[in-house]
Amino acid sequence: MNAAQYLQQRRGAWSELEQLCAQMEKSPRRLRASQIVRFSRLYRSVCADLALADAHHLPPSTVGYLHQLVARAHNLLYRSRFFRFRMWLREMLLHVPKRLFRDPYLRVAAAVFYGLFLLSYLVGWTDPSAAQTILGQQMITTMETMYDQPPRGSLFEASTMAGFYIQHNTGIGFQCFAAGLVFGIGGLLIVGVNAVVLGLVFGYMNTTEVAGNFNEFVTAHAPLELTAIVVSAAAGMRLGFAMLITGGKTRAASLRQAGSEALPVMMLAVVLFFLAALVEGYVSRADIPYEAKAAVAIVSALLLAFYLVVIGAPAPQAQNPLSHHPTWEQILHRSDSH
Amino acid sequence: MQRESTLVAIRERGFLEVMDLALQVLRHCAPGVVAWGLVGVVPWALLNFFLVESLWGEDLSESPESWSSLLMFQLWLASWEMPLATAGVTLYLGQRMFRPRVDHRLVVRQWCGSLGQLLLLQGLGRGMFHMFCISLFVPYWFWPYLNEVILLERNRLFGRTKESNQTHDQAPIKLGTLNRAARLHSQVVGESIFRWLVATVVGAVLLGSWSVALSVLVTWVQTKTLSPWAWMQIVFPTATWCVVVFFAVVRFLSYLDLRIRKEGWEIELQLKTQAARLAMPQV
Amino acid sequence: MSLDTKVRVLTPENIAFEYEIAGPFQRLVAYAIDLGIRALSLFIFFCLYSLLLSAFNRTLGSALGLAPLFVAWFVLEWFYGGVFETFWNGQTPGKWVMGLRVVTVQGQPITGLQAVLRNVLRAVDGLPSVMMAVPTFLLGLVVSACNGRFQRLGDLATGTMVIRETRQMVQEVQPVWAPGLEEVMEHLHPIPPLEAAMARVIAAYVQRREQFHPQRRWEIAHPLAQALLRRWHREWEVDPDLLLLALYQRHFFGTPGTQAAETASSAAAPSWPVSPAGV
Repeated sequence: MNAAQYLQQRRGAWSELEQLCAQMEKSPRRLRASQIVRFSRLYRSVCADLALADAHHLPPSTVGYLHQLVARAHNLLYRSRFFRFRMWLREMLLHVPKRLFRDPYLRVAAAVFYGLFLLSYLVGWTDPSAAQTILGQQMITTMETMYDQPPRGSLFEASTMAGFYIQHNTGIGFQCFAAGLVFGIGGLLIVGVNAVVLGLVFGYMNTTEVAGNFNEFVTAHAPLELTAIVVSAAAGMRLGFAMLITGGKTRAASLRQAGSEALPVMMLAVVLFFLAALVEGYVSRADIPYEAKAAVAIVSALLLAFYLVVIGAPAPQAQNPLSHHPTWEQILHRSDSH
Repeated sequence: MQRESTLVAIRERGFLEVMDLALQVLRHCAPGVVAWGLVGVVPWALLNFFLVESLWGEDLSESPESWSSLLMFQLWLASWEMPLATAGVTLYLGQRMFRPRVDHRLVVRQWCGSLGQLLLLQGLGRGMFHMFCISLFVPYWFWPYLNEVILLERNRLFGRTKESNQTHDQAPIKLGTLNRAARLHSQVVGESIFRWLVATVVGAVLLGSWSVALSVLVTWVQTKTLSPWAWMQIVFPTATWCVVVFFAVVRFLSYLDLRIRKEGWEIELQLKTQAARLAMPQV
Repeated sequence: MSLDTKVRVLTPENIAFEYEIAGPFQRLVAYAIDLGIRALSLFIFFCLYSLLLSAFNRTLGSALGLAPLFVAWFVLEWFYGGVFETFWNGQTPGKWVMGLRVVTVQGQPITGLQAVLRNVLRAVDGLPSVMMAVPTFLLGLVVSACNGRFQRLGDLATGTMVIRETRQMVQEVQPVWAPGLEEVMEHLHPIPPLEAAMARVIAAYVQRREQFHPQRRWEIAHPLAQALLRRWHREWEVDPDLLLLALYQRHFFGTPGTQAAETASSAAAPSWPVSPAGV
């Protein structure tokens, strides 16, 4: 059989596959079962045509067409799984805290952040002039004028500022996360710089007469926001160090696995940034007693501790299969099966 | 000559694809391109440095308006010198296209051989337009691949243009540089303008991005802000010449692409490869 | 092995096919389009929001403030690409315009996780950035120039690549006809059939020859025709172009085409006679 005859014989199948492709691209879910069976059969036959192109002496232009057709059908046949809300919920409520509980990167990031924070707090508190030189006089003046009144604001201001914090702080968190890809320490660097600046500001402000106003403002949202920045740096470090410490896998495979573990952790940080922004907008500048703000801080810290420690700790149910109290994991699994 | 293994796969491409391909070429021939780029660029960069330096001493250096005019002056100079500065890169790539080992002495010899035409056409000819800033805005509307024609075809300036009658055994006509350039660029004026536009936009984006990125990097390393002088005399020219050398690679590949489309160059190579295979004794 | 912007992908059926890889410059254009769309939609959202509030509900406006705008900005900045690439199977509007698509390095569609992660990690490809705000994309350019698939760091971390999708019509094998073709084909009779590689090259020539000046056709075809005649030990005064046409016609069709086929070559329906004689 010569090439022209072969083409004549096959082109019907090719154009049928093309039509099915077009249909699938338009509405993938409205395809009948018989059409899908037909699709995969046609796809396999076109694959065979491509493999045997040389044997049938097909000209280059036809081979190019076949490459393109196989690629198109291949992409549709192995179409991606859609976003599943239930799966993500389980990931966020179950796997992420467990992962974070035994995450060395979280410990390192937390140690770096809180260590540097405390150190520079002490510097700022004991030696305000040093803080002034490091931070710059301009920043000091801005801070002092910013807090010479107790933090108050209208509802309009509160909402606007909450929105601004969502946009700005979460953006910094994302940058911290992405910078982790630079050998793992890029994010740590940003966290370190932030810790030093924050520590100096906190220390210095507590020596001035506006200390009361300052503390009243920062108390409520501090636990959420500081945890969020540490978590995003830890997620970034997981990515970056996966490139260096591959654990016997190829660098790409190691990076890919770290990516699927790190992104949910980063999403946790996003949620924390959101909550922190809401607290910072609506609670921190509200006209309520300091005790209420402190209570918000304590409650949010307790919730964080519950999430990280109680859910995150290795579950003991393996030793006690007849326990009457279902574990958190069992509850979630049960709800999953409905 | 082994024709089968050219440096880049020969097929038709769009201009954006050509620029992408240029990155692959740069990756594979980085040492050669960088070395020949430096050889070509350094003299001109030094010349520009001293020219700008002589202006810098006067009161030009203070006001922001004069900075922008100094920038334009540097761009003006660089776009004039571009063909002469990148001749080495073009010759290097011309050889590298067909053989993995490049004879660097041959590059020098061909460079010297083409120097006359380069100076005459690209230096003086383009300089005439350049004086009136025409070629700053339209440097590559007309005959954008003149440099490649001069360097890679190596014809005499004027050729014999007599059309001999067609027989089955006629010899190819000898064309001069000017005829060849005219013939190559005819009927592709619209496309040349389009490619020039794209190249200008992308070039401006790259220049902006690289000069800013360089100054950010330098600032990070020395932990203090750059002085205007360092920016004007070091960072900006470095970024400019990087863009110029990159676009020399792009222009070379774009020239190949044009010849593929206009003259079926890839077909010619394939047929010649088959012919060479037939000529070999059969195993 | 020559450089090219193509990559081979092996399917589970063990068939290798080729994707055209899109490099930084094609992707830059798509990114610019997306950037424009993002800015435009933020602007439209701003107009609609202020219009809505001023027309209907001032109290709601004073309660919400500018928060919706900031949240919209945030979502567009960090989740625009991720959401589109998840639900549009690896495409954003910009990529769709440019005919690009993100797929995994195995050539399969990407998951939501990959889509979101590779878009978030664009922040690091944008380094060094001015004041951590305006990216220059130098790092992304260097990294993607340094690997054969033009992957930036975000792509490397998620195992994805950006490919260019082409839509081609099926190319018919066109019969050819030229004056004197039958005669040349008669002469070809005792000559053995062509090998596949030679046939491919000749087909490539025949499909392109229309665009060349006859003089140029001679230039291209002459060396191969000479080599063929030498291999066949034939002394034959023949136009090299016609010789290659005859070889093509014999190889792909077996018989000479008709003049009608030449003129109707662009017609959709295959109207030429097909001979049963094999090659």
